Amino acid sequence: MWRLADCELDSRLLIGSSLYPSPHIMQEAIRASGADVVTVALRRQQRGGEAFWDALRELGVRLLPNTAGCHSAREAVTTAQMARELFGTHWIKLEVIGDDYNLQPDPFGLVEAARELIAQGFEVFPYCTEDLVVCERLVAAGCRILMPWGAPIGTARGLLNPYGLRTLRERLPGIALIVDAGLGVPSHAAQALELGYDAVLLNTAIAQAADPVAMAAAFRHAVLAGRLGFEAGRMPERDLAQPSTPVVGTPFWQQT
Amino acid sequence: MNEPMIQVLCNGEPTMLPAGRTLAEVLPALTRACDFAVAVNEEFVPKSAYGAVRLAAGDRIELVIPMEGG
Repeated sequence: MWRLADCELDSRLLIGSSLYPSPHIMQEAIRASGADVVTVALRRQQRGGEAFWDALRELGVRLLPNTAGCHSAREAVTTAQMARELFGTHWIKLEVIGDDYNLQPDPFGLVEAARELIAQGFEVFPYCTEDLVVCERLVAAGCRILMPWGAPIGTARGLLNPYGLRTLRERLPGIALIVDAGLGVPSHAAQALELGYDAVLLNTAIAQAADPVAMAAAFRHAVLAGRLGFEAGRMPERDLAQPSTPVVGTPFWQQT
Repeated sequence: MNEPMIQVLCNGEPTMLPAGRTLAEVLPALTRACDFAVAVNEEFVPKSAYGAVRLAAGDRIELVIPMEGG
């Protein structure tokens, strides 16, 4: 068990609900992932959304609505208010997009919206870059959770800047850090947890795998492995080889 | 006598509604969804306020439902 905001969770994997081949496969993949928290969105009504919503409600998971697609603090705040009423949660994954080409977060809009939403009683999960100063501003605005990207959304490139992510972990020890977006394979998730990240949030790597249910199970194990590895404390890196087999008593050895 | 009508935008679509009605009065004509949330002119309208918001010509209504998200 670990604590995220005001909630005890079993899994350190948070999962998205989008892009699965069917609502049934989404349901099975979420079950196989072991995730307690699932991200959702709001959209203008259209036909065909009911099956998804019914399948998700059956799972009884905790929902984390997002403000995906918002390009200003104002849009994000209004979307968060609608999400709070619709999903009955004060948790919000805050997305304010600054660049449509790589869906890079707008740090200025993010800080502005985070400050406003925290004043309104939201628990804000900002989707941000790994920039230390932006993250410090978000913490100053009242965020106790940060979700820096590993790589741009949907690119499956893993942790592009491990140095920056490690720096964030060292400089913000009291903040829950979740790598959100850009992961492609289970080892990327393990790497984030090995760095001391509290959790990972991903969607496409599972939903668009050839077998999403099997990939969900693979990520569940990767997150467990990464966390155990972090808690176990890694050995230091060295430049030179050191034999692991004892050298004392080596046969055929002659002093010269 | 024909009832006076106003044009609003509902989810970006031009929509004709009877004039002088509240959001609570027109919502049944706009959606059949059980779970939805509303904003008018980019301001969130909580359910408790549907009866108090009177719509005017040109108002922009956003009516959203739960959807898949990452």
